[in-house]
Amino acid sequence: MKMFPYVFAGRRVCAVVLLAALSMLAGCLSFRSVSAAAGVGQLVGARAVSVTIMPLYCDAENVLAGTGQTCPRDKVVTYVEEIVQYSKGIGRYAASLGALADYNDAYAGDALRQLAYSAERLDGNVLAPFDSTSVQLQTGAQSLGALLSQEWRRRKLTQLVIAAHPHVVALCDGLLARVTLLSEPVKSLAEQGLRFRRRALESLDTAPPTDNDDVLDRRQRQVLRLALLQFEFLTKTGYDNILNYKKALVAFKQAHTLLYDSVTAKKTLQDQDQAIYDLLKRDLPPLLH
Amino acid sequence: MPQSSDPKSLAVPGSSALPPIVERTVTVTRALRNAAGQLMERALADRAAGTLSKSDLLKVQDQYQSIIDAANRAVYEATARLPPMANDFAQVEAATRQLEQALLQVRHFTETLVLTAKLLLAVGALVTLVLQPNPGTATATAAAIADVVKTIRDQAR
Repeated sequence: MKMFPYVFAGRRVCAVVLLAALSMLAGCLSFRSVSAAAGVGQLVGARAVSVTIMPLYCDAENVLAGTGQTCPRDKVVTYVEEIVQYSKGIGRYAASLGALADYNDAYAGDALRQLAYSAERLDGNVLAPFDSTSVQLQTGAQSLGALLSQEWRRRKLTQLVIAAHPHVVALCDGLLARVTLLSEPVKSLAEQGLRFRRRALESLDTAPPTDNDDVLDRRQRQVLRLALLQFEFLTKTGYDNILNYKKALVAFKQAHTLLYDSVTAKKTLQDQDQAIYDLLKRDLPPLLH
Repeated sequence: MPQSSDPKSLAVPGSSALPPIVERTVTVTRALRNAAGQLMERALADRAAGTLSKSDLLKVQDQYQSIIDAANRAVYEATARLPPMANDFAQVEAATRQLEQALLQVRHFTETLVLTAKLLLAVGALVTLVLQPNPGTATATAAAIADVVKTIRDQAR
C-alpha cells in the first residue's frame, strides 16, 4: 500500500514529460497561406457575375453589325452559363479549402484538457490534489489534442492540393481563355465602337440647319447621342468588371501554384506556412488591383 | 509558368499562359481593330476639316464596321474551338467534396472528444457528490449531466 503514492507520482511525471514533448511539436494552429489562397479563390466565384451581362453586349454588337449578325447569341448564353457554373465551382472549392485550413484545433485540445482534468481528479475514485503537475498534464493534453487535429488537417490539405492542382490550373486557364476571347468585342465596343458612332452622329451636324425637317433630324440625333453616352458608360464599367474577374482567376491560379510548389517540395505546409503567406502577400495584391 | 505581376498584362497578348489559339486570335483581331480605328479617326478628322462629305463618311463607317465584324466572327470561331473543361471541373468538384468530407470528419472527431470529456466530467461530479455531499456539489453534478444531455441533443440535430 505504501508503494502506491510513488507509483502514482512516477506515472504522472512520465505523462507530463510525454505530453510536454508532444506539445512542443505543435506549431501554429492555422494555415494562413491556405486561408489567403482560399480567399482569392472565393473572389473567382463572386466576380463571375460580371460575365452575365455578355448577352446584352452580344445584342448591341448585332445591332451595330446590321443585317449580317456576328454574335451567336445562343452560344454566348451557353458559354456564360458554363463560365458562371465553373467559377462558382472554383469558389466552392476555395471555400472548402479555407474552412479546413481555418478549423479551430483549440476546441479539440480543450476537450482533451477536460479529459485529463477529470481523469487526474478521479484516479481510483479518489479526489487527487489539484497541484501544478495536474495543471501541466492538462496543458499537455490540450496541446496534444490540437496537434492531432492540426496534423490530420495538414495531411488532408496537402493530399487534396496535390490531387486537385492540375485540374484547378486547367480550369482557370480554360475560363481565362474563354473570357479573354468573349470580352474582346466588349473591349472594342467600350474603347472605340460606341465613341465612333457618337462622333459620326456629331459630325453630321457641323453646318447650320437648312429647314424644319433638318432641325427635327438633329434633335433625334441628339437623343441617340445621349443614349450612346449612357451605353458607352455601361459598357466601360462592364468591361472593367470582366477585367477584375480575369484578375481574380490569374491570382487564384498563382496562389494555388504557390501552394502546390510548397507542398511538393521537401518541406511541409506547416514549416513553410509563413514563407508562402509572405509570397502570396507580395504577389497577389498587384494582380488583384 | 509564373504569371507576370503586371496587372496590365491581362489585357496584352503574349504575357500569360493562354492557349496559342487565344493568343493568335487576340493579336490578329486587335491589329485589325486598331487599323480600323485609325481609318475611322482619319475620316472623322477629315469630316471636321470639311474635306470629307457625309456620304463618304458613311462609306468609311461601313468599312470600319466590316472590319470589326470580321474580327468579332474570328473571336467566336476561336472560342468554339477551345478544349472542353468539363473533365477538369468534375475533378475539382470531387476535390471539393473530399474537402467537405474532411471537415465533417475533423468536426466529428472533435465532437466525440468533447462528448467524452463532458461525460467524464459528469461522472467526476457524481463521484465528488458521493465523497463530499453538499448542495454545491449536487448543483455541479446536475449542471454537468445537463450539459452532456444538451451536447448529445445538439449533435443529433
